[in-house]
Amino acid sequence: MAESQGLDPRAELQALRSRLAEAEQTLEAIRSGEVDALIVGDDVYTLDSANAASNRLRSDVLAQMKDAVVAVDAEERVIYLNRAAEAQYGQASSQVLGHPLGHLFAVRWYRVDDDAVAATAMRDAGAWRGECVHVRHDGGEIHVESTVTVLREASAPADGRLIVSRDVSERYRAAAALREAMSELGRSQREFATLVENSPFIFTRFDRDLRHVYVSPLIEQVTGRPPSAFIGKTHEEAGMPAALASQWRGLLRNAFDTGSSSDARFSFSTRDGELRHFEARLIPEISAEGGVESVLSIASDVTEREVADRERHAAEESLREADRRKDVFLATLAHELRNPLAPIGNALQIMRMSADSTAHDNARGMIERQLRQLVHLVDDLLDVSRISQGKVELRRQRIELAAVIANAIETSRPVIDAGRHELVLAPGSGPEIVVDGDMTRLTQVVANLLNNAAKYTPSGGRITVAARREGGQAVVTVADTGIGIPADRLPDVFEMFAQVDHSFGRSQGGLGIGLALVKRLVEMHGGTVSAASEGSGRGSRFEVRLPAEAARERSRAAAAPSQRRRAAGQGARVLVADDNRDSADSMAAMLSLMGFETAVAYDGDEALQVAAALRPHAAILDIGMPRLSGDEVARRLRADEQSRDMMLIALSGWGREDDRRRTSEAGFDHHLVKPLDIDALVELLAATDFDARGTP
Amino acid sequence: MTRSAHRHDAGAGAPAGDALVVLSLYVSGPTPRSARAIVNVRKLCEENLPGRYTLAVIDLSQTPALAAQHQIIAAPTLVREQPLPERRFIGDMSNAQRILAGLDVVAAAG
Repeated sequence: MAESQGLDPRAELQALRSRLAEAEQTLEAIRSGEVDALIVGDDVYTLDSANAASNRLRSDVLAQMKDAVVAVDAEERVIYLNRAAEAQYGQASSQVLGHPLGHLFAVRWYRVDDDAVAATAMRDAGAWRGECVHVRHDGGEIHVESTVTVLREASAPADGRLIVSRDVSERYRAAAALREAMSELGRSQREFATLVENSPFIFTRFDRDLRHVYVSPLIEQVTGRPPSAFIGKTHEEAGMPAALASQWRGLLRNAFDTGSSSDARFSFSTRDGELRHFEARLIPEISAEGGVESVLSIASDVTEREVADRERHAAEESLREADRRKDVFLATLAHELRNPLAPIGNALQIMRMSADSTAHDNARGMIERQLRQLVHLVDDLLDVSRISQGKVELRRQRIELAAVIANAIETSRPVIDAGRHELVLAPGSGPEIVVDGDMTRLTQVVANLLNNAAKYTPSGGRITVAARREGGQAVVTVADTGIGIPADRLPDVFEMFAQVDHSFGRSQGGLGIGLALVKRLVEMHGGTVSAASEGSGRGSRFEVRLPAEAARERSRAAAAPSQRRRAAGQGARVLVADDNRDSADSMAAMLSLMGFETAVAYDGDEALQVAAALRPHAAILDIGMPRLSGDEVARRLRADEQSRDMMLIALSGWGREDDRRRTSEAGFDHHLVKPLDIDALVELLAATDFDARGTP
Repeated sequence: MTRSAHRHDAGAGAPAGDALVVLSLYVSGPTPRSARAIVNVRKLCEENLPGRYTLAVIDLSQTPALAAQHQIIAAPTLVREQPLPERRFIGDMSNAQRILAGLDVVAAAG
């Protein structure tokens, strides 16, 4: 051989021996089965005939595999690794073969018990498949999907393992990123859900087919059905009312077509039948491609707000109406107060210019009528005001309805006559009907109804008054042939300042107070009043119902009081004291006409002086006088022996219990309320036997 | 497993006083005898030549041409390429004493 040339013979001999030994060992190894392949030329002859084919195949397959293949023996020493494993773990096989597996990588498990699970699987099934981390010798981490199988060799005392691992780090990182993204998404979805589900608004989202894709849970409170009843359905399909479904179809189509937000209002009748109102904002949601992908609706229940709005409007309207009525009233009042002044002025003119006594009488009559009209007007106004303030008290007694009607007719006669109306007192309006009431106030009631009838009946009409007993009730009706009341105004006729026909009413003179006063006075008596009319031009009929008393003795009040006026005086002396001179003078004049001897005083001091000089039988004292009040005058008169027994009558603007008690304590015998009811005064004076009382 | 380039990658920290032992193990693929040979050689080296040897494992089933080139006639075959003279051992390397003797290595104590 070429390489042995130049060597010394001893060395050459040594080499030959060595070669011989090697040859002997080779033969021995082959014979003892330690050799598994012989190489002849370029061919490798595998000696293990049983495994030859499969070995070769396995070897090729393993070498070609993309997965890292590592085999270890029973002592965990690496006995094989393919190229993929060399690449994956960054080490050449020659460095690693024969070394413990730890030279190649260490295993890190994802979960605590993965290790035990794998061991159990290997023991029981001879295989384990799963994921773990291989930590390379250089510290690098590889996420692998690993299949480990038992490596059983017939000739080996124990089993090794074959570890096939695929690097899935890329996938793992992607999955981790995805998980992170998903958890982020989940968080934002949860945030959205938290927001939506705690919001007072109802959120709904619709796809291009107008189907619900999201509905917030609040919908159940409104419709009684859960969101799941809506998802995937249109309004029609979800069974919403047709009108509502149609409205929404239009709204949603518009949002999809135009891509612009809009506001809408809609109403929904809940399961309980309650109508609720909603306001919704529709927001088109644009996809990445630019089209409207979906429409989000945010709706809120505005029912309470709407109701409050309506109530506020109603209140404002009613205030405006009240204000309007007040304006009309003031205008009418001014007109009404001025109205009688013209004829009075004219009458005075006539009296000044004419010496004719007939003309004077006519003029005086006109003045009296107009004055009465004025007084009536002002009385009504004051009464309404006082009733409203609870200042009117009824002086109740048993009275006959016939007397009430007679007094009322007497009061209203001038107005009825002025209208040239025919007044009919229906037969059977007998005197046996008795009520417990205030004569003055009930007279006022009937008189007002008569005035009203006269006013709203064209000249020459007929007015019918009737009274009857109906069960426990006394019923008075006043019917006319006048302009009537339209049906829609009937409920309002007793309202303050209500007038049926402004133009007509005003021309006839009327404040709309009369009927309001009637209603209040009747109600104070525990009765009712109603109006009926068959319509415009067909007359009106008013009916007053009062609780009736059993008919017994005839009331003293039944007799018409005016008949007694003339004889009442009997020459008794009466002092009239009032700081309103007109008031004092006119009352004194009236009492003189009735046969009394009168004297007047205009303040408290003067009243005392006149009383001392004249020593009257009776004194009528206004309470609100200057210098000395009526109360004080009364106290002093009572304190003076000369006037201790004098009849003292208080004249006060106030009629409450308190007021009456105060005048009584001051020493008054009687308390009369302004405006003075002359009849009541006359009755007091007439009923008194001044001689018996002792003439001062 | 077949490159000769692997020779450079070991022995860097070999003690200066001792010559580096360069070994090549020719095997015929992942067979039980090859596995045994690999494990036995590695064990023997780690125990007796720690830090002063390199071992190249050559799979003849993948590169049969190398067999002819290195005059290998059977597998497994272990070749001591350095220090010269070359020495060859055939078998599964389970007789450690004989190999150590052939490699001129005194068996480590223990």
